[in-house]
Amino acid sequence: MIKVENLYHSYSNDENYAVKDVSFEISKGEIFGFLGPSGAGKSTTQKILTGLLPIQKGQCFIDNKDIKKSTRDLFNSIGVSFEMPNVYRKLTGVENLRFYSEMFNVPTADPLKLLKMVGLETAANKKAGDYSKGMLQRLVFTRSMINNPKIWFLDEPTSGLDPTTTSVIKDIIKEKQQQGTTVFLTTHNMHIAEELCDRVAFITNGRISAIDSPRSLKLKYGESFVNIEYREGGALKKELLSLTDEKHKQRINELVSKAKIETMHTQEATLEQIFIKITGKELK
Amino acid sequence: MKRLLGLLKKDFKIAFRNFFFLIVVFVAAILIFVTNSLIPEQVNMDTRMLYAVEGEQSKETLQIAQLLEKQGGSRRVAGKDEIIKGIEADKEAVGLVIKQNQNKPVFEFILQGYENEQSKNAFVLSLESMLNLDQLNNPDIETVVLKQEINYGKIPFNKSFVPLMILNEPVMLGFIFLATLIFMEKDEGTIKAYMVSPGRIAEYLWSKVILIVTLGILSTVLITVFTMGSEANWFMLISITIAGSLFSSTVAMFVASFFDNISKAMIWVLGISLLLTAPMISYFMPSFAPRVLTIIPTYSLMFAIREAIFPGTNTAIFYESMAVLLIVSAVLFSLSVLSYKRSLLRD
Repeated sequence: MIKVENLYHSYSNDENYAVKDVSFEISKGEIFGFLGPSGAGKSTTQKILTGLLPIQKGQCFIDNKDIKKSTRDLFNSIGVSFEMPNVYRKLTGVENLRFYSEMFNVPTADPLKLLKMVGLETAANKKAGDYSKGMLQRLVFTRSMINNPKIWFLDEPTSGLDPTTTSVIKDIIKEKQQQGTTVFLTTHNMHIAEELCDRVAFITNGRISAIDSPRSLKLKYGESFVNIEYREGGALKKELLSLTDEKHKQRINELVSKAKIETMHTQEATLEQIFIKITGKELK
Repeated sequence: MKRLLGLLKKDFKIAFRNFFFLIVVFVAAILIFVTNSLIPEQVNMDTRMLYAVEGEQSKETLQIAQLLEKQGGSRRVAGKDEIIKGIEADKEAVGLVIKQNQNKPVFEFILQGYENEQSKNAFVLSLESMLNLDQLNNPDIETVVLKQEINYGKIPFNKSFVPLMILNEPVMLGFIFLATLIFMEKDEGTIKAYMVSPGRIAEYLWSKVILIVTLGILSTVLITVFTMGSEANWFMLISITIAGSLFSSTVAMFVASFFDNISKAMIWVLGISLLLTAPMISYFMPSFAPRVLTIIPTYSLMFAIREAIFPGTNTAIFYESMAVLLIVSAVLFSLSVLSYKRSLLRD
């Protein structure tokens, strides 16, 4: 559905690349997470794929069409949810969606139904300028669904949202995936990525360090631990022991046979820990 | 077409909610009030003269006094003291004392004190020409009036400002409105959302141009109807308003394409506004028309508007202005489309 080959981009038109030799493929109906800290090259890649930046070097294909050669009709099958709440502040929520729906040459969704999906039905006739940050974020998210896109670009879709609304957004994304929508999710939120993505790509300093499913990455790079809490001489003690290290394995056996264990949990590495392990950078 | 209608609906709503229509009506109302109520229909620009003949009254001095009597705005008084009293009371008046000295007439001007050298020279020259009046009445000069069927009539002083008001409000206000609208959308980032839809930049810009032209027509119709009534060549007036609004909006969109926000562009917006209104100097002084002013498209536009409001025979200025404005607008529109594409992709 999306194919990127040896993509480079420099804002200064020199060797100072914001995106360097980036290549990946995304299959139909897949949720692909593009993960990295701020300034890593996530948004630059998304802007190139959505035509907001030119292709300087490399190739990009969407739905088997070279985006360099495609017409604006390609956008009929694309939806883009921006991180920035870029809506018309003088128009109401429903007017924003109605205006946007008129820009497409394909059947569009009912604006009121979309607003209801994200809990904005009561604010439908309120000017967007009076919306809170979270409401604006939801409005931008619904706008990206108006043309029932086959390919959906989501840039930090849950940024600034409360846990309940975040859960609603995640459910909508999963539902769209089941309907066959391909999702390109740009985020630095590893929990969202872990929960939603079939595969993720780690990007830092414009380069992709790893691409795989969250589970495979954990198996490949993560370590499993056992977290044991036990009593010794009346005091509560805690130890985190690796399941792969021989010495730690012996210590687990020792504790199981001799100590008064109160709790014992296995603990997997998080995607964030894997990211730090692979890239050496934190996700901020 | 569906997309352009959608864009128009959106732009008209935003313009209405930003009070653009109200501003146009309000400014037009002020201009109508100023034209109809504050500016007089007739203004007497002649300087009034108080004169007196002092001392011995010879044949020459009496002849001069008789000539002055025939001049409109002059009044004979008893003497110099009365002249001084008179011009103190009337700041537009000047005085002239005529005396006889060694069989020759001597003239003494009594002025207000603030007249510049040019004015003083003008008084002397007009007196000289008056004294040589007999020589100027050359019987060989014949005046032939052509096209006598055309009755220009005398344009009332207050109505003579209407073309300038139409140049300023619909045309120049459109320039400011368009710049405001584009920068507002740049600030909101909505143009980026538009760019990931099948919509084209040209459609996006066309919608704004149509809005500005509509505001221009509304303003022109209001000002003209409430100052001139139905007396105008409406076809010419609406056509030239459309061309003028097209020109000002394409200039605004071209300028706006180079800047991210209105504060960065403000100096250019103001500078270009001043440049485009500069030809107004020539309106009341048609003889002052240096090349640097006449090449500005608003120069011919201003006279074309006058031609549409006070129809005469100079229709050439209308066609010339229409052609220039439409060509310049087409070039600027094409450049704007390219510039917007470039600036969006550069972002």
